[in-house]
Amino acid sequence: MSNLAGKAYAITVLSPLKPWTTWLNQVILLRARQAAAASNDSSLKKLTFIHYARWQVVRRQDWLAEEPGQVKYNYLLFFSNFNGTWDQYIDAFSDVVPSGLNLIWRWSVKFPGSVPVTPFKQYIRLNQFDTDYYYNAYPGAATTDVKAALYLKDQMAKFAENSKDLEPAAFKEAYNKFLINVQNSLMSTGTGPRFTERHNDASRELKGV
Amino acid sequence: MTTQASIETLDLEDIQGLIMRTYPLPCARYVYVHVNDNISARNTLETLTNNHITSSSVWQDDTKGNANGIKQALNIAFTFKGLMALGLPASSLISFPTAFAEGMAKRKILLGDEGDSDPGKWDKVWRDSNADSKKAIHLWLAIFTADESTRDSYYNELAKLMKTGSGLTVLGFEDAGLFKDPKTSKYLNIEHFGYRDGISDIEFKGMPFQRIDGRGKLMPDGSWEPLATGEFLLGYPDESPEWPIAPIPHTLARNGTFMAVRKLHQNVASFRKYLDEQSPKFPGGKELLAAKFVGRWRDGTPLTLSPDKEDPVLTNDASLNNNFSYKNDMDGHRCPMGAHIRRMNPRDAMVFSKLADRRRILRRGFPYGTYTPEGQPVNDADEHGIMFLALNSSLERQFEFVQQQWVHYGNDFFQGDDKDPLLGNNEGKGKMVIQGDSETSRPPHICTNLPSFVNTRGGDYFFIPSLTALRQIAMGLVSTI
Amino acid sequence: MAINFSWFYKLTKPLNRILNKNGQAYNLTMLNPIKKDHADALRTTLAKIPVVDVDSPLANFPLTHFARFNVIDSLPFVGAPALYDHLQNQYLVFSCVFDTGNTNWRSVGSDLDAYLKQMFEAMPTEINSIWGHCVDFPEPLTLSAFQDFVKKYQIGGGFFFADYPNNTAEEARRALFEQKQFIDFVIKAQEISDHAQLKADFYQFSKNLADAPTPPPGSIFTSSVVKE
Repeated sequence: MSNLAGKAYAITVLSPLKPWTTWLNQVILLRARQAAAASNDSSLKKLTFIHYARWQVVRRQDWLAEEPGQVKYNYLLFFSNFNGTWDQYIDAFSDVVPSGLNLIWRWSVKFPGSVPVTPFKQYIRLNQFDTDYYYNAYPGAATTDVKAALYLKDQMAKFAENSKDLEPAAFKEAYNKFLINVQNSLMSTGTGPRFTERHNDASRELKGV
Repeated sequence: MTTQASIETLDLEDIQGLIMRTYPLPCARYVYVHVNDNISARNTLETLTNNHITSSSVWQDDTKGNANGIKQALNIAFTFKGLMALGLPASSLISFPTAFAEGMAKRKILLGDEGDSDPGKWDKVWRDSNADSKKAIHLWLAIFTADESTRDSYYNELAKLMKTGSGLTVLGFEDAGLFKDPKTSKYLNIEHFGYRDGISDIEFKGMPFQRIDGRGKLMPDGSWEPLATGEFLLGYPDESPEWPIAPIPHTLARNGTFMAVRKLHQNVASFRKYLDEQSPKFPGGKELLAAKFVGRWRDGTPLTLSPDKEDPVLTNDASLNNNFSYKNDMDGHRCPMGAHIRRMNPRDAMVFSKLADRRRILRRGFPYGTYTPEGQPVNDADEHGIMFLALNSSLERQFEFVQQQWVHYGNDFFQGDDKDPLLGNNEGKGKMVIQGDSETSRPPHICTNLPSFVNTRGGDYFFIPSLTALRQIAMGLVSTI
Repeated sequence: MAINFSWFYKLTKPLNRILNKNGQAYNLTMLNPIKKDHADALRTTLAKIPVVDVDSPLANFPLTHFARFNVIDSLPFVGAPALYDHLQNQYLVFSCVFDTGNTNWRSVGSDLDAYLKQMFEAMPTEINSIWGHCVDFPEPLTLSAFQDFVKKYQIGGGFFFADYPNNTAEEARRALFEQKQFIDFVIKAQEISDHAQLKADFYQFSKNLADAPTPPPGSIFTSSVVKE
């Protein structure tokens, strides 16, 4: 059982929703989606450590093997595939986007608020489910690495196309400009940070080809 | 928005003196002590506490910056094994954080202490501490004096206190201190790679010193505020804000803090060789290359403020030499994204400066060994290094996080797996991108095959209690009932 | 306490399906009841899936970015005044992010079918050994039965965040592979003082790179296209 696959951490949280607030939660999530679609500059994106995440509602009747009335609450289901440690992730949310989080989670029963951080962490931990199996198609890359690489590839294609007929001196100048343009896409990728508890597994989990 | 009530003053007489600031005493001796008998050890501890341990009252009304003229100081800290040996109840012991309880050697993977830094290769006193329970380091006693002869005489005085029957055995000691210029006999503020050191100190709420911009946290409007006390002292609000997670009982934790001691050996020959070999390939030359590794020129001038040359006026002015942000340098064209000081204190480099506020550490160490001037023959095996002391309320959140995520990894700086050029365990395979400048068309330069310039040679995690807590421990009063 | 809103949910079901997509990325969330007394066996099966991503059965078909399985044995009880919510069954949660290759919200249905078809062809054994422990699992297993099974237990709606919604897993991996190769080239090129040589080397590198195959899904990149 491991919540880690390469540089990504899988967090899964289920929290009960206060009665009569589910619809409100749905509306907020819809608004969040619209806001994210409209802007490229959200705090969530600036924090640049989440590959993919989802908040969705699991209604009482979605637990399909239960008798009607067995499940008392609707639940907020939260998934994230993020980079960094669990503590770092929750700290960042508490430090940087507390109001956004409060808006989504305040409808959860006994949610203590995202500030200060320790009760928030306790709440998440209480409601978190560990991952039985986690797969990552590019375990050696954090989301910053992915975006940097995509940018580099795009810019390299443009540079190659635009420079093929340049004289050597002009080529060198264009090459230097291109390098400056992509200089923050030159990070090494690979095994990522090491964890004392998992060091025996780490070398088995990432294979290079 | 939460507001924090201001902390006007702290109980200086209860807080051990070295937490507040490095003493103006350039000679240090770190003594490693084992508890061989609980009861007599606690008696000796009581004597030490009442007669010798230096509190922060030396910093009270310290207008001249000479700690009211003290000539010597003594402070004490304990490992987890030490607290066990002194008979703390299990219910209190178990409330200490995991990192502290495991000790530094067990955390080696996370800290990057592998290869040449592996605990199996540490100096004898540290290896023995980990391998032999009869030689476990329980207490760390730090002597600070104005000169070497006082250090020897004070040590001899303390050694008498720790003779047979005291319950304590001295396992060994290590000396450190500022270099003395042989010509002028003045103490210098440099370290073995030739960089000026000790420039950036931290300012937290309640400190009795004059405020200096650059030492606290950056506010959204660009001004500086002291950091929350609880980031560095238990029992006060931290940046969250809340009381930092602390051991119980309260009187044991309050006014105390945790410390990482790390004996960092410096491979000066490799460093000089690397600079000599790389600088012909680096447009800008050797001193600029040296500056790019750290983020400051060797004289201490910050690159972000002065990217082209050293600036003695800037570097000698405490109100200027640490007073900068990265907002005009977000792409690293002045101070590289992966440079040492930028990794250690990102300020606003990660957009949200709050992300850096909770990862700060107080540094209270000294270099050790004799300084070999530039140009003179030098070997990696020579005694050159820093006895690095990092103080914080949370080893895991602060010191360990920086080691794991910012020294041995670079994702937060868009440097992926690339490590800190000075501290990282690069093992000859490391690389560093030195960003170029779009204004001048200077392209980026990649340094490759970075060796490990620094190896860990010893260390452990310690708890620095308040004087109240010291007396409680000494009198056997620690209880959670 | 529960007024019957099922008519409302029937209306919003298409919306909830659309909300599974962000850009060209699709997030499938499934909540499957586990057959009585099968939970432990399922846990063991999941524990035995090869941990090395490159060896994972999920690596056999390239559309998946991330995938995870959680066994929900009980719902969390946050303490009074909350009520204790007890499930009579255990549940398997499956959440994965995969590529659809199009940003069209209308094709959510066919996008999911296409992914499930790839999964069905690439790992039928694992589909059986994992979801075989779940209630209602179609026996014998056919593609269309599996697709219906998934849709029956799928949960949609909410807010799906994607940091690079328009890039497929293959694109991401190809870019990462090329990034590593380019860094190796830049390092070598630092030694070249002759500009004509630099140009020639760059275009040769470009060509070599274009011909180099992308390493398989789940791998990290260790080999170099740039010759000594």
